[in-house]
Amino acid sequence: MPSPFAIYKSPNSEPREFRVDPARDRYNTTNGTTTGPSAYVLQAGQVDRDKPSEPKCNEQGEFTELSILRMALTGLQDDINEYLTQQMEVAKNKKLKQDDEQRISGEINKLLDGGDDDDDDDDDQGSSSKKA
Amino acid sequence: MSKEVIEQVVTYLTPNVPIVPISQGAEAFVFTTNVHPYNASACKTAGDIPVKYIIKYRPPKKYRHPSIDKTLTKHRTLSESRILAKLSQVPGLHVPKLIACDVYNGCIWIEFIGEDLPESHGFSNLKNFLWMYKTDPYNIAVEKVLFKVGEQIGLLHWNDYCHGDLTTSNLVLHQENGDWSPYLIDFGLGSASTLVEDKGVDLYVLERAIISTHSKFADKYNEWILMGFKSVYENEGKKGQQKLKDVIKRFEEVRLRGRKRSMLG
Amino acid sequence: MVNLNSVPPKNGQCYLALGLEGSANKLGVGIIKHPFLSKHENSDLSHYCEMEILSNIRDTYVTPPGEGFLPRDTARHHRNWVVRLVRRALQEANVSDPSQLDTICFTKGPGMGAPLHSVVILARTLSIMWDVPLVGVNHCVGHIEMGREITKAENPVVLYVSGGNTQVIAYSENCYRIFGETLDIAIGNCLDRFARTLKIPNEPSPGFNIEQLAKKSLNKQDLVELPYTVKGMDLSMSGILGYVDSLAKDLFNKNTKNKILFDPKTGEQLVTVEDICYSLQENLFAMLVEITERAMAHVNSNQVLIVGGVGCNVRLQEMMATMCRDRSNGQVHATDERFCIDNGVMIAQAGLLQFRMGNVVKDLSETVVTQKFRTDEVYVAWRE
Repeated sequence: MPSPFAIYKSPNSEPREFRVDPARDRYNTTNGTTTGPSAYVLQAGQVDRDKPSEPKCNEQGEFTELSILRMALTGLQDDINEYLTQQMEVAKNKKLKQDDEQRISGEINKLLDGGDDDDDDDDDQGSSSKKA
Repeated sequence: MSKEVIEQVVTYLTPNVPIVPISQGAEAFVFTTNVHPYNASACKTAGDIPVKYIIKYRPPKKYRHPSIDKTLTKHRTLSESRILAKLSQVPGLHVPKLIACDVYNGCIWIEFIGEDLPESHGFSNLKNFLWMYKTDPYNIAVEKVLFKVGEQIGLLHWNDYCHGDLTTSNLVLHQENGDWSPYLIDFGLGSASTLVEDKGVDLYVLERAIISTHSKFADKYNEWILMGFKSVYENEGKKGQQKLKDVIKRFEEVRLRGRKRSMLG
Repeated sequence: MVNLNSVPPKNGQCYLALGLEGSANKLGVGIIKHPFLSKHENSDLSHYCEMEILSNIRDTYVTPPGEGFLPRDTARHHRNWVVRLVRRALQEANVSDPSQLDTICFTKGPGMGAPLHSVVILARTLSIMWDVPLVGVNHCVGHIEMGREITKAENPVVLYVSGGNTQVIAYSENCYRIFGETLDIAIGNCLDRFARTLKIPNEPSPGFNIEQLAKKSLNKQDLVELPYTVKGMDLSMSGILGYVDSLAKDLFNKNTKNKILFDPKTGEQLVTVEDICYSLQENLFAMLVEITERAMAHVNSNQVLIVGGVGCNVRLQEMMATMCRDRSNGQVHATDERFCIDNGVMIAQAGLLQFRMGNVVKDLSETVVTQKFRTDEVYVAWRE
């Protein structure tokens, strides 16, 4: 049976390919590291009854095909989740930096234009309707 | 109409005040009577036509807790009376006069507006009036009336009040010197409001009402109403122009979203 | 007249539909059967399909007291149970060959994104595996069609009250029009969140536990006064929730400065948690009944159908019945928890009606689920 794989494409980054690596532990379990219950519900006393079932073996003691597929997908999912979390972090930092730059340039402009503000509502409306 | 509610009203009013039920809404029952609550001479007939008054009664609702019911009835009767009283002081605005109110019993007396349309076309509300002209829908008389309807709503909004339930049955026509003059009635959902949103919704609700009952001619009808509406604001100078722009803009937004915002499941 | 038989069933005798629902914390799988009858060829009988429920299986994701359900954990619950539930549903319905199903129906929205996704993935898989066409269903329309079929209410005003929705709906020209709705949070959400403040169990459901507490109030004649926020046909509930939350907190913290809760002179406690629950229900339900009555007057109807999880509340049903008694020939239709609470059968019922009108998914790209999906966006082809 061929192994599943995944490709992530985005305009902001190079395509990234995910492949099954049976040498790693995460590709030998159905219980993912990133797909468990939220820490906060466990803290609140949640009993986890939604765990995925263990992989099953046939009479020869080998994993069934479906179980092999489930393990492969569990590992892929973990890899993908970690990658996406990382990407989100990158995007967040980028946005913070941008916002900061915008804020600073805004403040500078405000300082330079200081004293020109016109707070009178009626006058504002008057001038805008003149423009229109 | 529920017999029980009529009995309540009769007990409350005493047999000295004869009543005729005319309509039942979700919240209130409406009756007519020819007895004025405190001015005996006003009960006399004016010429040949007997004088009539409207009694609007909010019956207690058994489904809700008595203390909620009491508070609501009082609050709503009072607020409707207040709005009527305030609006009757606005020059040019036509609303029926408030005669009396008893907020604890959920009862108000108001002036009766309207008459029967010719050739048994029913009571002279806008709905029946438009039906009456369905074979001659673009008659100048229709245009005049709808323009005036727009003016009335314009005046209401310009003075920062909203109707809350503008339908073609809540606009009643009264004849003055051979001309039909529209009156706004039923301010049960009315409120004082400076919000453009409320005004936009008011206009949208009326537009929907026109479309749903007179769909073939609705485009022209709504255009005439809007012309009347705009004329009020345009007479108020720059400030009026600006406010008109805001209201119309919001009205168009409300129409676009179909009154309801998209809601998360 | 409507022809519900435009697409004949696979076996020529009856339609079989599988419904999958998982838009919130309930995961439901249901299988239903419609007999293929000539009377449905040319009539207006979409509320009289003679539906037979072959199985109706549900599993609910329950969180500890004081906690709500997060999309991620709910999706995980659905993912890990859905295959088992489908197996049980097929077994109970005695469907040995699933390719005999006429259609597989899934919830397209509205709901929480992650749980919707986990269920639609199974729907797609089954559709490809068994070669059975898919139908995407609007969750709210599912409730309405289920309620109509169960109660045989032909053209009722529908009050739809659940954790995510509060709407008053009436049918007009192939559309379920929304007459009034909440402007902020849903009634079920309001009750759930108050239950969390009170730290009462989420099992069997937070709303049910509030209902039980309310019954125990010993001071039913003196209501705790709460804001009453009906706005025309719409209502708002976030202010009420904020207010009762603050009351409950003052009660727990023994804040004797609060004159509503404690006697200013003696410091004696005047109001209990049970009293607040009772007042909250009385207040919220009065608002619901009022807007429902307004819609009834508007469309000139005398039937009400209550659907959605909060529709199980006996006090709400009682108040609605009292309101209807004062209207001529008024009738209330409600269903019990098997159908009120989200389930797979309702999705199967609405989906099968859609299927019978020839409206199925033609390409998997149409199966994208959506968190926002308004009741009035659905073209109701199966009614006149």
